[in-house]
Amino acid sequence: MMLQGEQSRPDVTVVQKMGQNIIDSVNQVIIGKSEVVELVLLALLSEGHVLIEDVPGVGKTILARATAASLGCDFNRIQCTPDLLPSDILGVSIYDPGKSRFVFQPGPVMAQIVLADEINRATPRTQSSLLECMAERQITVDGKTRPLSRPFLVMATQNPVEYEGTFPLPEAQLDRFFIKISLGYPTEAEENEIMIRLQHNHPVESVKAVVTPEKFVELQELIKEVYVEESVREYAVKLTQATRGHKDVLLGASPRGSLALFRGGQALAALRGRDYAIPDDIKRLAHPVLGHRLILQPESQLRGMTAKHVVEELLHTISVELD
Amino acid sequence: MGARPESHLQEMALGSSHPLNRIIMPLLAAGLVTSLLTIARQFSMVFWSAVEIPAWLIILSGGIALFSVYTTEIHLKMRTPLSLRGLEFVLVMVFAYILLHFTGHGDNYGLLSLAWFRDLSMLGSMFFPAAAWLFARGYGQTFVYLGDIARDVGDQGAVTFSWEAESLLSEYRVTRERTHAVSYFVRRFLFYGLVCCIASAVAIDTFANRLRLLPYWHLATSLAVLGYLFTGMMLQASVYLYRLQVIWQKVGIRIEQKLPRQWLWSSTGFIVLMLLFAVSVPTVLSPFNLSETVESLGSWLGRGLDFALPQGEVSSQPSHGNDASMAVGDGKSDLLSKIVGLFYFLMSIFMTLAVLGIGLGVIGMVLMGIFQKEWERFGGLARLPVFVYMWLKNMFAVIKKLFRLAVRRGKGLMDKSTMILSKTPKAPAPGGIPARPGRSPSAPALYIRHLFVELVGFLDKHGIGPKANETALEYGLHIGRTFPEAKIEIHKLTDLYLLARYSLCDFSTETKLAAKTLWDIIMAHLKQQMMEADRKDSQFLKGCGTDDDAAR
Repeated sequence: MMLQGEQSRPDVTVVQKMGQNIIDSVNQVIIGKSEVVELVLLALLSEGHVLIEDVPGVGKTILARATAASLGCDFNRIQCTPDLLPSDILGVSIYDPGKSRFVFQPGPVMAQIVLADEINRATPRTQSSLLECMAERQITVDGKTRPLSRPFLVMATQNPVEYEGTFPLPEAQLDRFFIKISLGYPTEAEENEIMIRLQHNHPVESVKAVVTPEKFVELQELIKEVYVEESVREYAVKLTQATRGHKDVLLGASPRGSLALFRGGQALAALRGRDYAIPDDIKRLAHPVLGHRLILQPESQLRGMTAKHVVEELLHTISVELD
Repeated sequence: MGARPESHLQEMALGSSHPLNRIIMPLLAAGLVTSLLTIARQFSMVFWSAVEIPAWLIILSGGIALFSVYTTEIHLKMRTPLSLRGLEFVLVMVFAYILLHFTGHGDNYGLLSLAWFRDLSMLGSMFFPAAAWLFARGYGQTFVYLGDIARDVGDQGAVTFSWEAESLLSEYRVTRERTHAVSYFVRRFLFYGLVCCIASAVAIDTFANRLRLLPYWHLATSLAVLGYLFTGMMLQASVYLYRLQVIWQKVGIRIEQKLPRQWLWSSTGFIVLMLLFAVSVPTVLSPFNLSETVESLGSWLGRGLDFALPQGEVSSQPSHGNDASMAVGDGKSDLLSKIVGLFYFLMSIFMTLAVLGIGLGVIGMVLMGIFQKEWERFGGLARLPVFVYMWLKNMFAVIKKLFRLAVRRGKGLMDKSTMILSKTPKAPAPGGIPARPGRSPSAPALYIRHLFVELVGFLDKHGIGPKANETALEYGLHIGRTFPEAKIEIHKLTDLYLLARYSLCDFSTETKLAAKTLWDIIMAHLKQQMMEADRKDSQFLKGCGTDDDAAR
């Protein structure tokens, strides 16, 4: 079948091809979690950040390291503790006696992929400094503003079980994360496979870059060209708006949420090899994008209602036109 | 009262000596039970054909019923212990079992074997004497209560001739059981009539093949129904006369000796005339042939409610462009569709109100229970406002929820009726697909969208339309799974629709033709599938009849 109008359409096959290469590369290390890896890649393509809520030992750090290695990006890890200071993250100016001036020593945030492990163990002050650079993509130390390199992705983790000695992220700050995902425990077969692969050395050491950071930035720019038809955009908006009027929701998703749906829809369409988004792209992303942005009514929480239930209900309620 | 035992026994004997109580009413009750059991046997031949109930068992059950009516009176008046009544039942059942065993039932096991517990035929047969004993026992009890209550309210009953009202309103101490006896006959009579009608309708509608194999079934059932009607109505008349007799006797009103006899004869004559009239009216409305009556009523109702929903055939050539013929149906269909839509809408409102009423009723009952307790314990009254608040809150929440539901359902129904109104839902002609600002779809793109919408409309009419929240891709996958032979074509057409609907892509004429080819293949396949399904259904129905014939 011959389609006309090819010249005006962005060639997203490169996104699909490279995206698949990245996913395959990460999948060498992270066994059986293709969907999660795809979501992380989506967040990266959409210039968003990822919050992983999961128990220790399921591969959160490895996921971040493997992703960084596959993209050829710098990787830094911050182990958040209550005594961590903002300067420990952003960097600090130290007096250099030889040069007789203060020299800026960059902190771990000055990398392309940053893993903030157990972010809820850091104090709110430290958290806010990290979240600020996530939103602004720049840091300001000693009155001097320094831009962060591109691509820039923060993967933060938190433990859903232990709450003692933690400072849970305020919901307003959770909104800054593009998606919230969970890796989950591997199956029996996957766990066996992990043991076989890790018998001698860790495969993350041998992960090679399949794309350069510069090329990846080009891909990020390319997905912005993906066409989102009006009804698809309206669907994303309706979904977000509906969270605000839901009876079980105290605080619905912000416009940042609908924007994330929009951008994520574009990225997912490109990863699927389409230069146009469809309602299914929005539906696919509704849970990871909207789930963590909702604050439920206390009585609804007592009834056992979760954000997942609300999003599921909205997906069932809001109709998609077939015309 | 302080009455001496002799006088009590005399009174008891006097009460029992009346011919109505002694002979007529027990006979009528036994006749009624026998008629009911005959009807039950007739229906068991249809519904449970594996079990064969011997005809003599019905006669035996009639005898047991008569026996039970008499013995119940004795038990009640002599105040015998419950164990004795139980023993009587066991003896009756043992007698029936032995008879059944010696007439060929349960040949596979010994008389004293417990294997009969697993013999369905034996269990089914044993049900009849057991039912006769139990049913008749109820009538026997009621006869006794009726005599007692008539004696209790004798004076007022004689004055007003309305002893039911007297028993309820006067200061006489009437037990609950006795009051209950007032409506006993009417309730039972109507209940059995209703069950009989329902069973008959089910037998005709569902087991027509089996009925064809039972040549005298209709006749026997009709006779049994006639017997049931006759004995039932005669029993009513006799009961009325009996209580008057008791009242007259108690109050000392002297009446002519021939009056009761005249009453009975006139009642019999009236009932017989009524039944004769019923038999002589056209057969389709006669209780003499209940089956045909029910069948005829059912078919009339069916014809009356047959709205002939206007479901326009999908044209083999999808019409595109300004084809006026596809835009609207004929005026008559429109009107009928509107009526049907309105009917469903009203029904949904009615159902909503019914649910609301039931919900509020339940809440009210619960709250009344709570309030009653609180009222008794005065100290708890302070909590009343809290209860009222909670009640109001819950009530408004329920109303709000139901209202929303009703609005949503109503909207959905109206949408559906609107869909029925247009033969080609959402046609792509100008005005069909709304033009979106900033984008004007090309003609081939509109054509492809129209093809997909036609496919959706066709499937929707056959009950496999998309859900409201289902996307085109999900729906395409869904129908691809439903019709695996056309899966590839359906997926290709879905992909083309997605391109036409959501992308900026312009289509060539070749693509348009290719889409039309895909559509033709899919439609041909779907129509073939539908025809095959219809053929299989009809074969299955025929097969059921053949299997039954062979089994019989």
